[in-house]
Amino acid sequence: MKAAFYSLTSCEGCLTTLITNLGPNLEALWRIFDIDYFKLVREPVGGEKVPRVDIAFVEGAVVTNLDRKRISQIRANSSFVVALGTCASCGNIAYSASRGVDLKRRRLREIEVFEAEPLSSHVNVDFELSGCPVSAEEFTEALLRLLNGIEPKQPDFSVCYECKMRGNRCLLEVGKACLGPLAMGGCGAACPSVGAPCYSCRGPAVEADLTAYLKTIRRHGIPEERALSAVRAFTGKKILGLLKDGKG
Amino acid sequence: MIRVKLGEFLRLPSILAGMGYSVVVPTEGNGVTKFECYSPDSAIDLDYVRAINAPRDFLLPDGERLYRYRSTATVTSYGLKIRFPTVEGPCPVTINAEYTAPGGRLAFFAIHPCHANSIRYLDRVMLSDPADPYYKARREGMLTVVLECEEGDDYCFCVPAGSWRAEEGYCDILVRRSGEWFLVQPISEAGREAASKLNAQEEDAGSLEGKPPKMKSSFSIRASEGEIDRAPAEGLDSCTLCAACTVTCPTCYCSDIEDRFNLVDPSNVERVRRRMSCQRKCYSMIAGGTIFLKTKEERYRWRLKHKFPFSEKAFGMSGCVGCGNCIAFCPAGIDMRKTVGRDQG
Amino acid sequence: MKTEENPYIPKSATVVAVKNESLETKTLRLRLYNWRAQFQPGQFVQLLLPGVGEAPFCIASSPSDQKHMDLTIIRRGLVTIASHYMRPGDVVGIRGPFGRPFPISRMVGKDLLIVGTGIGIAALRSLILFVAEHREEFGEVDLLYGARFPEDLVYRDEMKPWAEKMNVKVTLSKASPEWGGLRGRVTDHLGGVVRGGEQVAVLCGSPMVMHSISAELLKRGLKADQVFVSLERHMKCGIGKCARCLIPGGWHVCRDGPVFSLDEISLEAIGE
Repeated sequence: MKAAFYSLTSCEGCLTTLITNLGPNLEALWRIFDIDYFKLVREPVGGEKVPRVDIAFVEGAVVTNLDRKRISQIRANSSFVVALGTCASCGNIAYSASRGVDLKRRRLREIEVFEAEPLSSHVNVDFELSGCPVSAEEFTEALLRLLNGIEPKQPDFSVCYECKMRGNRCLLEVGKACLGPLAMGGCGAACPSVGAPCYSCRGPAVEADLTAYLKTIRRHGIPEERALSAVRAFTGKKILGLLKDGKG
Repeated sequence: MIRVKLGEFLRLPSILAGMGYSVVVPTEGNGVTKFECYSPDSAIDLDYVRAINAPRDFLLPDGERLYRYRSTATVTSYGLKIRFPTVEGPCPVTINAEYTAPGGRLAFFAIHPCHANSIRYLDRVMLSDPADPYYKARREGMLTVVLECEEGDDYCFCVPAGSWRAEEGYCDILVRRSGEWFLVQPISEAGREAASKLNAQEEDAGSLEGKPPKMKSSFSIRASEGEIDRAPAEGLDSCTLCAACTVTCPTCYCSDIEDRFNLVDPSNVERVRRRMSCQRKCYSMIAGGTIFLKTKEERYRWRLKHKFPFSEKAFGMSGCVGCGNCIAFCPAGIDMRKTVGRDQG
Repeated sequence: MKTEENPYIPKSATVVAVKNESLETKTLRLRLYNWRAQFQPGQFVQLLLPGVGEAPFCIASSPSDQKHMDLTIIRRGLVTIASHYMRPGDVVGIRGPFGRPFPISRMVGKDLLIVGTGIGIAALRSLILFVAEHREEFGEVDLLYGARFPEDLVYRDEMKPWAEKMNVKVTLSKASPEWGGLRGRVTDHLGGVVRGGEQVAVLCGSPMVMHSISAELLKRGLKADQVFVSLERHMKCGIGKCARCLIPGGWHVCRDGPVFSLDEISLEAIGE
């Protein structure tokens, strides 16, 4: 069983998180898989060449011409491609930040810079694991389900659901523009549990409904712009897709 | 019946802990009251009207392990052909499920009558034949100290729901506030034993009878299946399907059973019971992806039907104890009283 | 509490044979390891595939063999797809039997109509085998089995022995030109098998089809308490504790069903 971990344009935070947070599972990971490419851990045997693997984990957004080439190589050489982290699954901050900017002047020798896109804009992605950074626990669970030959699951609930499960006070009630009802859960409501509003770092929930959300925050007297600016800032393509669908 | 002052009354959790109970107390923090396991520095809140969680969280804990087994499976169904790398030796002929019954006795301190009734409802569900062994083990030897409410808040409707009185068997000690005094009426044998350890400032010959709290609204509940189907469902356009209504409901018990794996030892599989909500997509999904409850409105009405007509029929008791949590904690402010309540006054 | 009393703990069984029924369907024959299952036609079990998960299936074998159990499984979801990879010798877990069986006592001495469509026939096979074994206890027995394509037909080799014991009719709604049997939907052929009187009808199939057959049977004069349907939901616990199989009317399919008579449930509950 072969696996590889690639990194496109990103902060490499997802892979770093895996290394630091997997604990004993990291060792198990190396025992279970032949890991042909994990540059952050050791220099790959075949150099920069994309090896043939069963599962490829890819972090980062597709930004440069090199990224574009690399992601199609990865796709061609891997049976199963997992988008690791929000950059890879939704485009994250880079998606919105690169819109409306003159990118032609940002050319760096042979590297061309384009508007940032998630992997799914370029290739077929088999599974998306959101999170900024990705959670080591969810990564392990997805991996185990794959190992057992069953489909990994994306949470079908929102951050709001988990937040209520933890018994937190609702941040909308105290006038904070929390994106919890809109955001994909799975993080255990990390931010709202310490009083910081959710900014939906994992992209929209499976059944996110922006219209309903805006109605809800209006009821709490929170200006829409505050929520919408947070919606625009993070998690890029998918959540902006909600806006474009006329759901806003 | 005895009378004690606040300081003495607050000794009761530690008395119960001393009697071997795991004590659950209402604590205040960050603007919400929730039930937590008692520790000597718990910020016990006796003035609360509503709590965000309920005794259910302790009787049916989320993520409870049902059993554990060793899997030697090499079955693959998802394209990847992998064998477990850590399985050694010959394949065992049986699935050896390891199961340990939960131990310890629970004591709920200062729960409201609606909570006591929610336990009564869960009993009907979980102890009906065949009994749920995990619930039963937790439930055995349980003790409750029920603190009466004087007045409900804007969302309470235990009087219309008919659940303001803690029924027999669900109240070991009944407590009422009277000015600076707490009137403590032990009811069961275990309750008498616990109450006898309090230093009663005064004895009283009389005995406490349940008293309905003051309600801000009165109405009657009409909730047959047909009535729920026909009644208006207002405000659903702002429902975000966050499922706060079912998470905070003290009687919601729907669950999912799933496998939990461990990467270090993948053949070691745990079956765990997770909480489920009818507001979630996968609640009504069957093989092949068909979903029976597609829209918000269907899910909303389904929740009410499960609470009222379905529960009446299957368990002979309404599943709604009138605590109002589903209204108070709903970010969209959806009020189910408008759907099931009639003759609002 | 002893493990035996805990309804959540599966008992072991070994796959002894796998039979390909059709392109999408296999029958697993399980031998129960060190235990016997006292089940009746219409009951279901929870099949645990180690490391994959659990799903409910109706028992498709005769109740007279308590050491073995047949489960006919169509590829649909996680567990069902994984079950198609099972080979003889693989170990699985079984919980159950659960549920309320077909009311045999209501059928004895009367005419019986068994209607199955698609994979629904799997839930009826146990009853069919039971009736074949105790043929003299029943009146006229009709089996009407409908499928779409000839490739979808299951239990093909068993139709002949069954036909010696009862009137078997097989109809295909999308038959190929070579097909020599009946054509059309099950509802088109009810006229020949509804005998009226005290006849008891038993059906299983996809929700929509069952809905239309039920309506048709009632129209043809059968009373609601003479018609029994076997419903399918994704039960998780099997004992009425998880509330995942509630249907309109407040029934738990796992505990109160899966067999219901039409005077207990509304037609909407079938064909949601």
